[in-house]
Amino acid sequence: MSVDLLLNLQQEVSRLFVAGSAMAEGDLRLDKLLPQLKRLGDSAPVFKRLAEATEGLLTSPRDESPAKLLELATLLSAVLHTQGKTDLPGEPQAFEGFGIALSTGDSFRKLQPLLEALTSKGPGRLEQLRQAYEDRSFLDLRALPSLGRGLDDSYSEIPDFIQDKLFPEVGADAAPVLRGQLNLQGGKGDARRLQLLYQLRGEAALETVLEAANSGSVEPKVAAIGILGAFAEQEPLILDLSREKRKEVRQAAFFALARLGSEQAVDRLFEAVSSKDRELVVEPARQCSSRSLQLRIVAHAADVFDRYLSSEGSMRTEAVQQLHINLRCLEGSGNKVAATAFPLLQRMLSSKAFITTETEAVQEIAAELLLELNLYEADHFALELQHEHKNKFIGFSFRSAYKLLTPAELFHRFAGELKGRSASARELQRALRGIVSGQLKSDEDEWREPFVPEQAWDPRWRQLFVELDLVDLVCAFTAYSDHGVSNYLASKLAAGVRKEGNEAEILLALHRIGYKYAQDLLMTVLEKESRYMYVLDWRLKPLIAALPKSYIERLRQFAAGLAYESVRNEVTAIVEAIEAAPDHTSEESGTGIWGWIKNKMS
Amino acid sequence: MIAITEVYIDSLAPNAGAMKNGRDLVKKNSFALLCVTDDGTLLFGDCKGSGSEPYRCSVDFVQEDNPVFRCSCPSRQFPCKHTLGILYAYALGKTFVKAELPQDIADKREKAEKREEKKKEAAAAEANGEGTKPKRKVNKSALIKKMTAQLEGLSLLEKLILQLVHNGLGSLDKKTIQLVEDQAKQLGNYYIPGAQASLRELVLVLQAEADKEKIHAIAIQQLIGLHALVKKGRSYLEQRASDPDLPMDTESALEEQLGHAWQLAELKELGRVKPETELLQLSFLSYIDQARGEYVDAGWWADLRDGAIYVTRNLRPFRAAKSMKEEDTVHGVAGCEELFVYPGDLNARVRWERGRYREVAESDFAQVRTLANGSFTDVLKRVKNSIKNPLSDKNPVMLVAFQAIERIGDTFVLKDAQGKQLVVVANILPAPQPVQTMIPLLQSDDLNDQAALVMFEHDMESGRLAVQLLSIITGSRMIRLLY
Repeated sequence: MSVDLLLNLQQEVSRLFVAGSAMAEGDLRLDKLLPQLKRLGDSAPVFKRLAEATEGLLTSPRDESPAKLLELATLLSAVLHTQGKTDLPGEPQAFEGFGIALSTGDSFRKLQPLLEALTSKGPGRLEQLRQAYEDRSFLDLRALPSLGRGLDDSYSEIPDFIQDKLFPEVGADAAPVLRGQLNLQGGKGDARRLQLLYQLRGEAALETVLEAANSGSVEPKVAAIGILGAFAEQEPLILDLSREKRKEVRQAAFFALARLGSEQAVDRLFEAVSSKDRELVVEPARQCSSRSLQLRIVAHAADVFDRYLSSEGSMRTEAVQQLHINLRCLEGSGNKVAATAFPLLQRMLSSKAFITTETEAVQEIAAELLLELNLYEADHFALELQHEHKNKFIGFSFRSAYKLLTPAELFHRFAGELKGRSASARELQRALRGIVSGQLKSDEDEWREPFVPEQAWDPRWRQLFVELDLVDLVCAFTAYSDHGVSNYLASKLAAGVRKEGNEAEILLALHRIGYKYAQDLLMTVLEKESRYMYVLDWRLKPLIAALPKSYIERLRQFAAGLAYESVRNEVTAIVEAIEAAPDHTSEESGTGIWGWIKNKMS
Repeated sequence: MIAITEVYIDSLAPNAGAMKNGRDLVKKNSFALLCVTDDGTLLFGDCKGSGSEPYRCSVDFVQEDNPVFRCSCPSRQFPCKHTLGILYAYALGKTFVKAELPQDIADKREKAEKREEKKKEAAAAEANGEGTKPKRKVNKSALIKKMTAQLEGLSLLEKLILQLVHNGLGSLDKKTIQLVEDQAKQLGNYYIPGAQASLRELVLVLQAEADKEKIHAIAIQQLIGLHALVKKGRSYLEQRASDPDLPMDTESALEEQLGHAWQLAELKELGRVKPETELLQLSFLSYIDQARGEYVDAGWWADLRDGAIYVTRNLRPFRAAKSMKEEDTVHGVAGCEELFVYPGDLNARVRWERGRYREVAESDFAQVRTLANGSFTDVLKRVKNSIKNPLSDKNPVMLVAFQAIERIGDTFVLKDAQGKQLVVVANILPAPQPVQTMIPLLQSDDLNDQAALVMFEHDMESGRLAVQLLSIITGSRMIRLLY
């Protein structure tokens, strides 16, 4: 065939290009092709020219050979370019498309950066995805496969974002792509694909989920089990899986069983509580809504406690560990099992034999659980524990007392215990701070006054804290009108409380009570720390903003002395805002102008 | 006043960064002042910058289709993010205060008007035959000098090629490749930047980390091309040097391949202007041309009247890229008063100065469908006829009508009404997704009896002529497989 001859010739020409045309003179393999070329040349002029060019190359001296080789190659290349084959062997088959209706409407400048973010590594990619989410440019057919691949990204916030935000909006259209990419023997990304498939297609994806649960690798399997927890009829399978070799799989199965909450599931979970899997089952047991499971765990704990009391050595240690597990399983559902659990807890916490160093962790949980029962008798019992076991549970007693007693009674009963450096005094302070901080919790967005509600506490506490020198608590107990503590607080500031980091609280408290040198003190504190200040306490910003215009000069000097530029910019912005503010607001309390400044700077 | 939509503003932005930065200015409330004149032709405002004074920026719509951007910022990007920001603020519904036309803008408008008038006067005068613009004069001796230098350069290049072929590609090592690279640099002195770039391409291929055999196959084709360029270029230049009055060659892309940058005025003089055309972009890609040291924004367009496929190439040299506008996908239909057509093969390069854009309608897609060539045999004949020329574009792009997209094994093929096939490959231009992934996602309607824009490539190793699918155009939409 003449095409074969051309290809042979091309091979020889290529060989000579690699070897160098200097080798062409009289080349044997090329020479062999010449007669055939000549023969075909009789009928086809193209071959005649090829034959001539070949002969020219074979006979030319070395220094002319490059031109001759190029001449032959040019001619041959032109001929071959007209001989391109366009048919494939085999019969073309029609096929069904998945019929995804998404458009390809994104422009290059939108789509390309998105694909780049999805397929590369490096910083700034999540930001790109967020932008694509905002301008909807991820809804393009050409982005879909890359979005799916993005689920495998090792920087977990990216797959999180894709899974939680992007794919739900693509909807069922994404299913064929995800199904195509799903590898049940794969890793974390495939677990996400499986979850998405189920989320997008519902029970239509169940078959795939079951396949993953039966024969997938760990991560898809765990994801599959999580899904199957919603299907009561899958109980036998999940029970089987709860005995798998991999512990991740077993735990996933426990969670699924906890969700099912059926009789069999509860049996299995209860069995696990006292097996080698007991550590794994704690969290699932907590989540399980079945009250019967919790009651069984309480009953079992009672047995274990008896065993504890009657045994020694390793048996005893084992019992402690088991009790620890059982009580932890009950955390969060205390008031559901209150009536049953109370006698046990009462028995435990009053038993001298139980209060040892070995059982400390269990005591702690037991006492916590006692308060959680939310039972009058339980609280009362906790209060009675105040002086038991060397005041060990005084913190819990205080917490129950806060619920049971009036503010005055509470002060009367506990004020004396707060003094000193004993363990019980510290324990009591900790409990007190716990309650206080719960009442103070605030963050920048949701402004809450940083002091405790007045009616909840006896007013004498504050003076006691001053005496005990508990600065933070003094601040927290100082509301608007308390002038009595101003000297104490001012002196604390002067003494330098930098180490404890309370200045902001003190300054706020002083500001609140309208201490007349509060603004001066604020400036002094700021100036003293200008060299080390690398971040401006957000609580101080409203105070600075509330300074009258007369402080502008001093503030500017302070700003100039700041070592960190970002702080300097912040302060400068506030100063400019004070300057620009209309006169009347600057005399009022801080929030008005602060709101104005915040609005300007956001 | 025209509708200022976000899409419209995006199209004005020089790059994606400017779009984002402009929007961010609005989000961050950086505009201290936003004003609009009573007649709505001018948007202006103050934007906070890094300095103490805000930037004063404005967008003037006194000529609706040709807004004028003014800003006091020192940015070299044009339009800058501040002026874009004003537009985004407007599009996003921020409150604009009604205000008087500022005096400085009024002055500028007046001046611009005067300029415009002068231009008109000059045009009118020319039309009347008075004071015709003198025809561009060519300094003949300088031209001959230049061509002599070009010929010298070509000789240098030829010597290099012959030497390479003489010694063989197998004997190339790093040092010799370095030598070729140095020679390529030297070619810069001979006014043949096109030939120089082709040589650089060869160097890049030889330096590439890939299968030796593949590299050699490509290098051989490039050597053939270079050799052809030397020969054709030389005979053309010799001819012109002996008779400088001969017109420039417009039959092939030879001038451009040697390195001539066509000016629109030249094209007009040579009669390469197509009046009143409507073009629809069928595909777009922005890529890096390493050998020429520039970014290329390439668009493939169909002339909606005659179905010709043209290509636009916006070239952004690396050095200047920052301040040049990045082109983008265009979805609308461009109406061009004057379409300047560069000399070339199947897909001539085109440019236009001022285009009016309109929304694309379903009838446009239908029109593209009717313009597509339904006979693969005919298409193949034209393609083969073109690519056999060693200096031709080896990847022509054609608009074809197919009966169905089907598959043989894992390979997709286009079939025409006669059952003739075109094999779809995926590796000519970098697509957002491989075609094997994309085609199965489509709707059945898209796969039957539609038009497609395809790029051809002849693979020397397998002797196969195959296509890459760039777009599918159905009666109601376009599926872009590039961008």
